[in-house]
Amino acid sequence: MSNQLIQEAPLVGIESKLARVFVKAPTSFGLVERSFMTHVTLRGDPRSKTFVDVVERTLQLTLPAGQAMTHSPHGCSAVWMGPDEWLIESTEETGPELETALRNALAGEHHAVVDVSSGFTVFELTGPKVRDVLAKGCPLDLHPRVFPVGHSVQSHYFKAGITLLRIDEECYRLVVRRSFAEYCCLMLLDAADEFLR
Amino acid sequence: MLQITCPWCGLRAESEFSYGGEADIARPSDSEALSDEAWGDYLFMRKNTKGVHKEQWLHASGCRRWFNAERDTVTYQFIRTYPVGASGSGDTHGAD
Amino acid sequence: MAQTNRIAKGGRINRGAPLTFQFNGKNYQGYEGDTLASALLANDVHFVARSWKYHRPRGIITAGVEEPNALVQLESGEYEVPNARSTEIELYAGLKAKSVNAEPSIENDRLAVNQKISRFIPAGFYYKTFMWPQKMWPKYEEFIRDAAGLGVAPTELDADRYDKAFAHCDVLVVGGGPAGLAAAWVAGRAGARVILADNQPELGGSLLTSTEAIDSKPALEWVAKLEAELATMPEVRILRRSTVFGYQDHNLLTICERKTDHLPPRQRSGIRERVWKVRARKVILATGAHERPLVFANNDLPGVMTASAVTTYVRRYGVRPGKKVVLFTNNDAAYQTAVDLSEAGARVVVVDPRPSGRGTLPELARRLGIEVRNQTVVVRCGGKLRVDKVELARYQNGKLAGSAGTLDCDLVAMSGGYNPVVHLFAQSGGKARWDDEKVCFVPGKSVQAEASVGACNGTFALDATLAEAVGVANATLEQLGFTRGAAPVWKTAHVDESAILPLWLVGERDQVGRGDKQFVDFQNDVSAADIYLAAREGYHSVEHVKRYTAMGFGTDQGKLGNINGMGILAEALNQSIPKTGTTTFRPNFTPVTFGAIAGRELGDFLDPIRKTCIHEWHREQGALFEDVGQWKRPWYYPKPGEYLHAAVARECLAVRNSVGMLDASTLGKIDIQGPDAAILLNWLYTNPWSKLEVGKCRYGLMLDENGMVFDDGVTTRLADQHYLMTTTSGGAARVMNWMERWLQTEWPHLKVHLTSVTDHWATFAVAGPNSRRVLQKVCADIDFAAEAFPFMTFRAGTVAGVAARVMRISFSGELAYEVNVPANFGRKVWEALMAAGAEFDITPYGTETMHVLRAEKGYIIVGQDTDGSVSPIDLGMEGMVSKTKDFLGKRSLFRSDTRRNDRKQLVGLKPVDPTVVLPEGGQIVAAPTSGGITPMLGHVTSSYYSPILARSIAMAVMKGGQSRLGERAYVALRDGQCVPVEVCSPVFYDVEGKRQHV
Repeated sequence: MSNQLIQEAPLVGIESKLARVFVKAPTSFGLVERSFMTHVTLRGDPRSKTFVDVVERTLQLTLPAGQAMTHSPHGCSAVWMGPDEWLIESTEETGPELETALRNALAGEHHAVVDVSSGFTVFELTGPKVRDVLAKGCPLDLHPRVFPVGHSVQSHYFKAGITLLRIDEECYRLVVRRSFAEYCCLMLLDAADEFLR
Repeated sequence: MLQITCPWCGLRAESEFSYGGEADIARPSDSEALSDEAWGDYLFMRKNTKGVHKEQWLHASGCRRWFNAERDTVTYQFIRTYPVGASGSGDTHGAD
Repeated sequence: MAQTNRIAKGGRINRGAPLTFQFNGKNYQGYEGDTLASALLANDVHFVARSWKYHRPRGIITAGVEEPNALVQLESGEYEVPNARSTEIELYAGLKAKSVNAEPSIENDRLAVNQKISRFIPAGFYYKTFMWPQKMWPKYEEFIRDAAGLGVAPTELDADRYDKAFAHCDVLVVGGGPAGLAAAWVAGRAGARVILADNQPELGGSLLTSTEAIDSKPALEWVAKLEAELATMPEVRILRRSTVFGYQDHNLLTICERKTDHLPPRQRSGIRERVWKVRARKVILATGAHERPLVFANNDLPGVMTASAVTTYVRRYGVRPGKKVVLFTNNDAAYQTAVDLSEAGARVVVVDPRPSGRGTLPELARRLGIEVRNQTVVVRCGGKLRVDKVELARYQNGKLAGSAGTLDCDLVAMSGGYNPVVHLFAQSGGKARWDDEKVCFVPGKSVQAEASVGACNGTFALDATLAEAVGVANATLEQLGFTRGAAPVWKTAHVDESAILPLWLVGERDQVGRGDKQFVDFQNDVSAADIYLAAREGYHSVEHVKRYTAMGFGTDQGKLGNINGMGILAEALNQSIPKTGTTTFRPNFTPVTFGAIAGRELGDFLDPIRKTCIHEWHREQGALFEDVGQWKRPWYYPKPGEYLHAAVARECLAVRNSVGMLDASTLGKIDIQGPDAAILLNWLYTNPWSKLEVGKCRYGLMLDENGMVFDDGVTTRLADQHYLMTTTSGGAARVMNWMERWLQTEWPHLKVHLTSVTDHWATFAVAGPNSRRVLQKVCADIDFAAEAFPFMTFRAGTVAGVAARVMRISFSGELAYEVNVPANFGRKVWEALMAAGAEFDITPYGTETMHVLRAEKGYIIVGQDTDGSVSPIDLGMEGMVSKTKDFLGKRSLFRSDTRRNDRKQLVGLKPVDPTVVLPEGGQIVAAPTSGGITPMLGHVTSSYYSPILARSIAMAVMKGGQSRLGERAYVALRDGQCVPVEVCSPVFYDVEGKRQHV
């Protein structure tokens, strides 16, 4: 997409540092920025059958009712953010398209749909040391017994608010606000320092 | 660091929350008709409870919901946490 | 003179690895596996310290964390550690340490003279003596602090790296001795997530020095077997060299893991110390016990040690601290030390106040031919820099019964019984309970989810300890929902014991203070006489006695002496020990370095640094940055050779005369949607919002319920039920929380949703008479004509190919537009605007210029011109306060105090000399003052040099300011000068406000 060419990712200031750190592609810990994903905040009352039906039909997924994420067959996910709030993510549609589609579909129902694609970025964290790196700044218990694949939670990493998704056994996705991205990434690299030598 | 049960997210570390002071202080509906003293009471007068205290918390680094809690100010134990609007004592089942 | 006290064989040291180290400037040798203390004792160095107050010679008393005396300044420069306990320092090659409390050396200590006057400086001496005259106190204090104090604070930056980690487990076991190992093994085998933390380099605890057998094999074989099995359990984590220093709320325990302290500084890499913050569902405390000294005259001489320490040095480190030993004990357990010493070739005489008993260990001692003098006590030690004799007395019916001669010796081992280490239990909120039979405090009822096992629970015998640990571990498993685990019975020999005889103070009560000092708290130089003095002077609460005497302060926090102190206080007050009670046990159990407490959150990691999407561009242009909250904002963009003043003047004039551009992306932005959005805005802002048309913008002031301004900004009605609010850069999160709070807790019936979009939108202010022309070049689908796109309205369009929201609003008083685009496209749009503006010499400007421009117009900055005590009326903005609706804070504007007309009000100040720029914060006075008490009328809040007006201007808050316009006042400078100023309206430029409407 032409958009890709003129967009700039939040980590632009430390891109060269990141490249240096991961030049040897360490196996214990990996960090990749998944920039330019679509993020749309959806607010509405899950007790309203209309609201839920319309959203689920439009996105072709089941809205999660608790701390989890669900997926559509078309690269769209819904992440639970609160009792009346979801973060809709997509690698296919753009933010404005998704915003318009949901807003039109929900006309007449009390809701809010806000494209916040530029407001967040995503780090994909991989490797056997991910939990150790996260544990240095995040108070959550990440043990597989309490944090299974598909689980989604919001917490903080040092002083940055994060949404943490467990994608796979050793793969986590960390959603962070754009202006905190560099700080958060630097803290992750610093915490991973002992595993990157 | 305390552990607090968010009614929506479950048991979490205190560092995810911020404290909101005493709960159940309703804003007077006709504030302009109040005496200075009555308005001052609403603004400033708070209980200094020794024992079970009803208070508000915000799950700031979480679901960003405000909720109420009953906490023992002597032992720091949370008796229960519950959504704003749910009734306080009387409900027998707390969130924790 | 090599290691004269080293025994030929035995100990857990590596004799194949000799190490050279330096203590007080002299070189010595020890072995790998030694502590600094054991290596010093191996070299017959007992005299290692001077005491804190009296500067008496002191030696190593213990072999562990409870050591009060043998503190050293370890290493120097960037690796310097003050007050390290030599009993805990693992020896490494090249270690350098020196004694604290002694200048220039412990042998020639300048303040050793204090010993001679010690009779005249008892507890409370400083309080009583140095109070008068009061104004001299700072001088006294300086001297006292210099004379006292322990180690010296390092002056260089710490070279080491420290970090922290959160951890979670089902069971945290504290202590790797027999009880802890057994409990961890049972819990780990059952599949529980276990963390076992032990403060030693190797597991085993008391078994490291024990002669006992488990299952007929040396106990350490049992340790090795369990340790090996634990290592195979994936859910078990063993933390060695890790001290659990705090039992916090809700079963959070804090652990300091020392990862590299045992290595020479130059060989260390990675993290020196890590603080673990462990949230445990259940805690099993297996922290063991500390031996109590006995209290008799000169019991602080070098060469007087606890019996268990002597055993540790003999058995664990292969060091025999003396050859002619007197063992003074009131219990059976310490007889083991006599056995150990005897086997190591020392001559031992046991002195025991009790009649002869039948306990297993005393029997063994007698069989080995060790002389035991029953019903005898040591009343006094003799010697100068080291003990060389003891004076004995007969002891009958709890009383001294005449001299029993003297004994020559070079070592006194003493044992007054054991104190279970109940510190963590007490920190958890539990109250220790006095056990009359065991003569010690033991854990009482649990408050948090914990259990104590083994010696820390008063269970001293090995067989009972192992059984207790297995039982508690299984009960824990059951509570946590696991099935019960193994219940092994490890066989150990049963040890018979005769009862301990409580003995708090050896000597007659009426003689206390007459003879040589009988020390209770070695580190703080508190003697039995001090406690009696405190009691006599009316300090009956143990907490008061602590503060009066200093007993229990310092790095050891009374681990060694406190219980003896309580026993003596109880006797002095003729009451029981439980009635006397203990002082409060607080974290930290042992001192923790500041480095570990800070972790990695230092320097640039102290707080998040937030950057806008244009940050790299600003940097490339050579911008200097200013911190605004957590944000980095361009402050100004100096051209080569330009300083602040010239750069800001250039930037200001560019905006006033042509066009400039500011990165305003840091402004807080809140998306508001829903049918009740206007109702919410009416509550939040002082002015009315119901009639704001779609496509229009309005400025609003937000008050707290006290009626004081706490934020401001422009809100735009994007659509019928859709608004975009902007807040101050620093206030975004606060405003969002404020709004959510009211919505969720007070007005949940309002149908409104809030979304923070601060990070999504990049915001650029394009300001100046040529701003319209710039925008027209990059945006074709908006009509920028003045009447088509008037001031305070909004249009959606495409700027430089990117969907944008454009507001015509101004914070400079010029024709200006605010362009909002998604931040991912921000840099491209910014550069397009710069390119389009090139023909008008578009000038990027920073926060300093923005501040000057708005001050010229008298626009406030919340947080700079206001401080939480300023109402809209004080600001002269009463016109923005709605008379017809209620809003948050409104009622407070009509309180008697907020209606006063002598409140501090916003005014402008013009210095009479237009070249003088007033200092912000400068105090306003009515007349020139030359010192003394002068009433202040207010202070300068903003002050700049205005390039367009070619004069200095300032904003200020001033008592009754709005009625003083035109008056003369003065701003007092720090150097005593007073600058004359004219009080004026805060609007200095374009008073009619025409420029923004063109």
